[in-house]
Order: sequence, then structure tokens, then C-alpha cells
Amino acid sequence: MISALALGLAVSMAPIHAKPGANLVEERFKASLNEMVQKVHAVEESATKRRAMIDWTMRLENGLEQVLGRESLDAGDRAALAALRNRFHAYRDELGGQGGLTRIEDANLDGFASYMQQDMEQAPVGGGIYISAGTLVIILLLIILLT
Amino acid sequence: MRVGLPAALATGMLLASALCFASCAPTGPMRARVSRLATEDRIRSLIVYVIHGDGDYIYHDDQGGRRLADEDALAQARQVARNAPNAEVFIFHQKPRWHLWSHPSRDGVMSHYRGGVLLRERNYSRHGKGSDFAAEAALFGRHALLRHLPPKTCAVASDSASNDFASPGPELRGPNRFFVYFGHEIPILGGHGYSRSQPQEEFTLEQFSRGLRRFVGPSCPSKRPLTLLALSSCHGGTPATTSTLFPFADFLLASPAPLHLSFLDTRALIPLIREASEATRPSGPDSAGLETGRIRARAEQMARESFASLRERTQTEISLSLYDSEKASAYLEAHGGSRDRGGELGDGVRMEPMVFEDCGEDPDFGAGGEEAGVQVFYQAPRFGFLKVKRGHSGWACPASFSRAASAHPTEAAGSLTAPPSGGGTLFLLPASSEEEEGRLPGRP
Repeated sequence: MISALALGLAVSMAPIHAKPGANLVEERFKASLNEMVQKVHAVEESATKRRAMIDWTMRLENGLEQVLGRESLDAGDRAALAALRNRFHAYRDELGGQGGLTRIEDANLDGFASYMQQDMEQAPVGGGIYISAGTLVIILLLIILLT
Repeated sequence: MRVGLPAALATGMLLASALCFASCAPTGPMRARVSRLATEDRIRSLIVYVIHGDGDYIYHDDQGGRRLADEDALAQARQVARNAPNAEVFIFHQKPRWHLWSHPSRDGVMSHYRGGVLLRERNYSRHGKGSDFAAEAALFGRHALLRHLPPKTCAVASDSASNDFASPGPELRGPNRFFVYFGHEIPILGGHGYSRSQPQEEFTLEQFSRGLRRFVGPSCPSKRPLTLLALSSCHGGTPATTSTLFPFADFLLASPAPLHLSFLDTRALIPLIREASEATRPSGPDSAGLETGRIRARAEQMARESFASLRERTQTEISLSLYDSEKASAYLEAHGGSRDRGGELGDGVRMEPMVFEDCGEDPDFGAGGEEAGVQVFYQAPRFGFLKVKRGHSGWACPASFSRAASAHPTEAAGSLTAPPSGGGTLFLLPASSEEEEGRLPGRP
């Protein structure tokens, strides 16, 4: 973990035009999301499905919350990370029936997993092309370390 | 074993025959020429596909299989081209650019079909030519059959953009002209890094419309150069985008909402193209109206089939709008024009939390829909706050980020699951357990 963080710090200081990292982030994030969705689909018990999705979104939401505490983020990246955090929070709310949202019924949990996947895949991570290389690395580390 | 003279002679004759057939067989260019001559008088339609692939187009299907949306779009375009015996089809696939010791790679592939036959397929370079389809239009100008048709006779359009090109290139002429774009949302501002491998290059709606102009040339004020323009991207149905594109096409197909990466299905163009080859084209004083009606019906069919296809596999919001350009542009003029109530946009940076909402939420905008010349195919998302939404005006407007954020701090940004501000809005309607109809008259 320490070596991963050190690598992340080094890469985050790389020139901003080192955009190939963005492809890696996008692909890794979508692969991680797909793994979670397929696991949900494969599991029989509804409680396990729900817990898997809640845990996954909560880990990422908490990780992003910690990152948002950094003062070094610029406005654009901060907004993008906040949007991502809010999105995970909304998914979790709907799974638990909070925040004014109706709790997902057991019969719809597979569909909700697909919904999360499609919702995330339609919009590139953190706005995709509009996010800085450093912030992309942060998201990558979160994905690697937390999922 | 010694070979006898008769056997040697036979072998020699066989070899000579083979050489003869080989030398007599049409070479590549000759084959292309023969094919062109055979089909030139039958070409009734022209389709140009521009498929953007220099970005993140990864998605996963229902079985968890990894797919690339641009490759899927390319396969679909090729299927259309192969099944269009009376059309000329250009497919431009824009790909990531690599650099090898400062030498840029070729970053595009052109596939040119005529009469259902692949005439040529070649790599090309977009490097140093800008992002407004200059490289693609140059290839089109070099190879398109329709450059031999008489030039247009109407006056050059008054808009300044059309005067920016010394050589606007051959025009898309002919009874049926289609332009299809597959890619991510085309931004209004910023746009740097739209092509992932070229972060310094800007691509916005301005570059896109300039690129269209390279293909269609100066337009007649009274006649739009394209029959149908299909924009297979997210948020293509905003007032600003549609207002910019209405002058190019009689009909515009676009998605006001985010569009699933499986994109629009243009294979419904095939029957439209096949119909154009028939000798039963309308004639008489109302022939133009009949022809427009036929094309509208087919464009609607394409929208409907795309919608049905998306509906089968998509849990998120689906919104497809087929605009009658003349009627829809008049509606926009009467209801606020092409204004885009923008969120906060920094120079070169678009804040991801650009919240879009149905323009119909604004009472000043009106209901849109059929009265505005828009056929709306709408399905609410199966989850989230918008799952109770019953219809759509056919346009999406960028909402104020600050307004959306203050309305619901834990939501907002970047997702159409964000609730609207305050209460007493469409979203407080009782939830319906029935699925939406495929065709809706706009917001009730």
C-alpha cells in the first residue's frame, strides 16, 4: 500500500499532458464496477446483493470524502470529485430507502446493479476529459485500494 | 521421376493460363472503376459516418462482457454500407494518435463503399489539420461520386462560417443525404481533450458545425443540404445544439438526455435507402411533400427502433427526439431562442456538475413535443428521483449548478437522478407501475 501511494504521488506530479493515465483510470474503474455488478447478479440471497452494493458505494464515498478534505484540489477537480461522491451517496440512499428515495425492492436489486453500471458508464469518471491527471490518479488509487 | 514432355507441356499451359487469368483479372483500381461505372447511375443516397473513437468508449453488456462503443458503431455502419446497393457511404473512424519519437501515427481509418461494395479502406492522419473534420472532408472531396453533379445555384448563405473556406468541397447532393455522428457529448465551451490522445486540441459545437459545413458547402437559405442528421451522443438535444444544427438538415435525431454507449441504431436507414432506388418516387405537384413525409416516416422508424433496442437493455433514462427542423427552430425562436442557461464554466474546464433538466420544466419554454415539431421517445429511468417522470419536452437545458446544488446538497451534480428545486413540480406525480409508451406527445 505504501509503495502504491508513493507511486501515486510521483505520478500525480507528472506533467499535466500525461493523459494516458486517464485511460487506465477509466478502464480500471469500469472493470471494478463490472466485477461488483456480476457478483451481485451471481449471488442468490437479496440481503447479500444489497450489502455488496452498499459496501462498494460506501467505501468509494468515504474515500472520496477524505480526498475532498485536501486543500490542494482546484475548483474543477473538487466539483468533479464531489459529484462522484454525491452519486455514490445517492445510490446508497436508494438501496437503504433514505434521502427521500424509495427503498429498492429485493426483486429489483439486479436491475439496480445494472442501473448503477449504466449510469456510471454513460458519464466518464469525474467528467473524464475535464479532470486533471493528479485527480485521476487519486481515483485510481481509491479503486485499487478500496475495491 | 522424369516428367514427360506432354506433362511438362500441360503444366506449362496451366501456368500460362493462370498468368493470363491473373493478368486479366481486374486490379484494385480497375475493379473500383468497373464497380463505379456499374453503379453510378443507381446511386440515390449518400451517407457520411464520423465515429469518434479517441476517448473512453468502454461499456459492459448484460453478461458483463466488455465492449467498445465506437467499434460497435463501426460494425453497424459497415452493415448499413454493405446493405445499401444504391448508396455511397463514407465511414470515418477517428482513433487515438500515438507518437513514436515525435512522429505522429495515422489516427483515422476511412472506409468508402459504393453500391454495397467496399471500394477503398485506408488510414489517414488528422494531425495538424484541426478538429473540424478537415482531413475527413478532404478525403470525401477526393473520392465522392457526387462531386460530378452540377453545383448548387442558390446564393451563398449569409452566415460568416460558410465564407471561411476557400474550397468548401463538393456538396452533398442527391435526393437522400445523411450525416451520422457517434461520440461523446459535444461541449458548447471548453472542449480541450475531447480526443483523449490530443488534450490540447479543442472540439466544441463550433468545430463540429464548421466540420459539417466542410461536407455540405454553403447552404441555400431555403433548402437544407441534409435530409437527416443523427447525433448519437449525450445531450445532443439542447436548444443551443439544435439551433446550431437545424440549418443543416430537414430532420435532426438527437438525445436530450445521456445516451447509453450502445448508441443509436442506424440500420433502419437501410429500408429508406432501398426505397430511394425504386421507380415509385412521388411525382406531381405535391411530390416534395410526399417525399418529405416518406423520409419523416423512415426517420421516425429509425428512432423507434433505436428506442426499442435501448429499452430492452437500459435501466437509465432514454430520451430520443426527432426534430422537424423548420418547425422546431421556429418554436425555439418563439420560446427564448437558443439560450442556454449555463452553469459555471471555467476557461477550458467544464465543471462536471453540469446539471441538465427538461426544458419543459421552465413555464416560459412551454411543453415542446409535437406542437414544437418534435417527436419524443421517452422512458424514465427505472430508479432514482426521475423514475416518476412521465414525459419530456424533447429538449434539455443546462440548469444553474448553484441552483441545483442548493436545492439538494447531497445530490445535484452530474446525474439526472438529481431532484429539482423546491416542490410542486412534475416529479411529485404519483409513481406509475406501468412502463411509458414508446411515443409521447411531450410533457403533459
